Amino acid sequence: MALPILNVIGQASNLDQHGKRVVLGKLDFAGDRLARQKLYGAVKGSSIAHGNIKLDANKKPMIDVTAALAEPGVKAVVTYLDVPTWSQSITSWGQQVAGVVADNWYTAVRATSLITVTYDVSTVVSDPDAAIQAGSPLSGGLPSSNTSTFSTVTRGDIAAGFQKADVTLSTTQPWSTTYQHNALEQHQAVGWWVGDDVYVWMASQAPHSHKTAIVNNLALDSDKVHFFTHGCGGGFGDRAGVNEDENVVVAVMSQKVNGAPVHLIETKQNHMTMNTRQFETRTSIKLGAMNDGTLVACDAQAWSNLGRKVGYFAADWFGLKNTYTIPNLNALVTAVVTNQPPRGAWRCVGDPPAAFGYDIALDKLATKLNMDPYKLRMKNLRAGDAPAQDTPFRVWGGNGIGLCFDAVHSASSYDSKWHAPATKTLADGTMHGIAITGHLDGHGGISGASRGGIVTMTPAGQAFINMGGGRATSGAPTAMVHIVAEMLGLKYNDVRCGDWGATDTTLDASVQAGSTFTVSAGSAFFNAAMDARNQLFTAVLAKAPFSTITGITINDLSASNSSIYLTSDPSKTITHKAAMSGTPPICGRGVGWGAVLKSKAVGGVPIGSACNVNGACASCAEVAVDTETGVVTILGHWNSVDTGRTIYKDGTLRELNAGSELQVSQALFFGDIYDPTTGACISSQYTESMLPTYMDIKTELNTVKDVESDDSAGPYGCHGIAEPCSSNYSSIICAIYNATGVWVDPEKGACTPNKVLKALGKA
Amino acid sequence: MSEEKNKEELKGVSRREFLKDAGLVVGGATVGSLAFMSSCKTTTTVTNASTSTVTKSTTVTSPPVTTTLSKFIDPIDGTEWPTLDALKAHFAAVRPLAQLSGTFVDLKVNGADYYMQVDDMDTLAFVLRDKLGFFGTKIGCDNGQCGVCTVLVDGVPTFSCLILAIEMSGKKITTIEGLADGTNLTPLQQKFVNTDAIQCGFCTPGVLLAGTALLASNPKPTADDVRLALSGHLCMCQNMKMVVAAIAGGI
Repeated sequence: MALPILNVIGQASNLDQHGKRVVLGKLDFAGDRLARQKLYGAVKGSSIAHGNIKLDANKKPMIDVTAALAEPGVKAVVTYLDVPTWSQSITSWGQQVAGVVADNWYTAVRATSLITVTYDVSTVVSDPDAAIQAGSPLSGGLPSSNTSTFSTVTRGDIAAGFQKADVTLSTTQPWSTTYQHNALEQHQAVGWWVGDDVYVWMASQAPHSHKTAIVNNLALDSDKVHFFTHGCGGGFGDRAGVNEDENVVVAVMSQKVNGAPVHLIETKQNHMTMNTRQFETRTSIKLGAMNDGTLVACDAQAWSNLGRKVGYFAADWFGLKNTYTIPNLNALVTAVVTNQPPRGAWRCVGDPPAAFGYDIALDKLATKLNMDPYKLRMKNLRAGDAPAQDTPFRVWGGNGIGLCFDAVHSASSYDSKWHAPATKTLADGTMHGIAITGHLDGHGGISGASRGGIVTMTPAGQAFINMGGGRATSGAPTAMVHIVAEMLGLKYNDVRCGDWGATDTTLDASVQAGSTFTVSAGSAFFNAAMDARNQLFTAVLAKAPFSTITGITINDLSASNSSIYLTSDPSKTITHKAAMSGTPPICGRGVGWGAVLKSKAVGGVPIGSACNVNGACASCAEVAVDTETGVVTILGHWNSVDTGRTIYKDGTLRELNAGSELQVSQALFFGDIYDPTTGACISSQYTESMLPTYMDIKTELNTVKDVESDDSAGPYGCHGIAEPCSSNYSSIICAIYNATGVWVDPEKGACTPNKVLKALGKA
Repeated sequence: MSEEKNKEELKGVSRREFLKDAGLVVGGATVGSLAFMSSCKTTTTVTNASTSTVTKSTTVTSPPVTTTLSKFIDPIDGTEWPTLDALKAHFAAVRPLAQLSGTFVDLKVNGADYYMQVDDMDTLAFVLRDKLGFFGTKIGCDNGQCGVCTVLVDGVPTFSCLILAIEMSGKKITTIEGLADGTNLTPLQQKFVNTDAIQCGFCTPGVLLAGTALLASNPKPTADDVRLALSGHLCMCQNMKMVVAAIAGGI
């Protein structure tokens, strides 16, 4: 169903508000300030993965900073005793233990190597398989165990379900790919003090959260902390306020040098060994189905390696629970804590690792049933307006999972290409494979009143937005401009992104580029623009031509194309510029709303009812596998994502491309490698973590489609869409199976040629 | 270069080939970059000892030299002086007993001369950013793996994190700030904006400079030409499709 065309929203001609600034090299990042006026900071990571910094007989930490302080140019040294976010206890290799401030960054880095730290070393628990064994040494992340139940769902009668099944399939999938965010910009911050006030610039997706961390850790009054962020060289959850702490560290370092500006830069090795990565997940799934493919039971367990601490994220059975009708279900997730760096927020949130497990299980079941795996999925796919199968049984404001499957199925000409596994050889001798996967995703939720937005009208009749988020991987500020322009009836270019990322002048828009941003911050800016619109319309009632028309209210007015007009007689009009002439300043403020049906009823559930707000995605991968070399060549990949309503057209397609390419990388390239004995992270350089280059991905083979399900809960029907969900990881793995008839064990990394050969029994 | 020839070269340095032997991965990016950088100078043969021989034979016309503006900066207090003599006089007046360390270099950046003192260990990237304020040059890995620090040195894309500033005396250096005429974008910059070939923007300056150099030598590059030219650049946002499309085919 095609949605009505709006004046601003969804128009492909609307360019990124910051595009020109970016190509001129003028988009400022955290480190881009105070040339020749600052000192530099560097941090030292621990050389052990598990233990404690040893205390001497006087209970003083055995950290010798003498040589570092004697180094010419060194101004100060900090240790865990100075920095409240650091600890004497070490639970992963590379954890910060000390830092240096010097007049040159290279001096600071060199001086960190002169600091000697004496440790009490404990047994390293690096391998998650070993960590979950009874009697395993403890990693130290939990008091008395290495595991913790993360989530559990039980539905129906699992035993009865399997008893009813004609066919059962049990499968255990080894650990899925894990990888680092590998953001190009280092973790860095510039901070200084003026009296009792601290000023910090930092690469941040969540400036208000990072400000709060300074307030809490340094016990400061909120009005004494001034936090700023603009450009952000890659986000992906790596700068979302979960693990990074350079905001606090730089404030402490600057304190040590009497408030002088300090530019803290983590080395790339620091960055890549200390910070957030994706959790690898192992799954064990038993499926029960009737002979016609109808699913009747599922028992699913997942173990997610969360590194050194239990955080907010682990594998999520969301897709399995909600995409297909399964009347009887057990779904359990167990967190595993090891001496590896922390896992956390990452692109596409929690679904791909678990989808890796259940998509493979579905394909194996299809083989057992002698069915096309796509038809098995369609047989069990839930209708878009059906409620969730678990309490509180809410419908989705918009659920485009079926539309997503249709889009990739059609675009890829799947029906003419699919074949039984290992049955099609191409002219060059390689084996052909194709697969479609997809899921209703944990992405896209709406966060309610915790988000805020500010809209101001200028005397020239234009509007500015003040957004309390950064600018990481997408044009999130630009998306907010679209919503405000549409609501105020302004031309796109009459709304500008004013200040953003400055906590003193914005309301909290939370994690920019996070999966929920467009819908959550978007609802706040929708309300802020509505507030400004009401003030503006009230003002124009006193102006010609409306002042001479009796009995009209603001409800009788409309606006578009930067003019306000009487709805019943569009010839009665005034421009926004004229409307603002002589009008007192207008400032609209708004907070977001929660997940409720706002614009329409869904599945018989009335407007005003609570609902779910999530995205959906599907993808098709077509591959050729060289069974002699193990090389997998992508012949095509098609990706569709339910955007609800596409707000910023070009930016959304850009994100969809990026999400799709990312999962090709996850399937075929990425790696995150640890020494099993010491727990040292070996992949501390880009080359070692196997980032694909421009040479490695045939980008023109990547086709994306934004599917619009018109979400009742989202402003103008949108979902959250920065860093979109994607299913390419699963579809590529399944396509390799379709080509070869064997399943490749990614061994916590990508399906490299030698792993393909291993699966084929040739290596 | 023919499309078929190009494919052969690409095959020789593709990442998938390397993944069978991780030791070759570094070579992938390096060979690609070297091949391109060499192509901007003269006819050159670059040999990848482990895989194949890559031969490029394109001659580049160097960008025109723009009018030189003289700017002499005191590296300590940041004051600017119209002539070298004026700078020296300022030095003598303000710091008559100063013991100078490091080396004076003449950096020609974006058409202006900067006669300045640098530490011998200062990289070009550090000097451009933290001593001259050309913050459009980014620093990512600081060891030549990501390409965000790319500048043009005499028209050739160069990783400024791997070059010492003292080596650059007299060279013509172009940073991202030097591409446009004021705020009038070059056609390639405008195409990047119009086609959304940007995402977080951190890799964009380096990619734009490499793309500019490619178009100077090859006005109508194929997508594979572009990939080869950008093989030393990473984009973790993975907006590579839009970037390749923006450069391929020329402007």
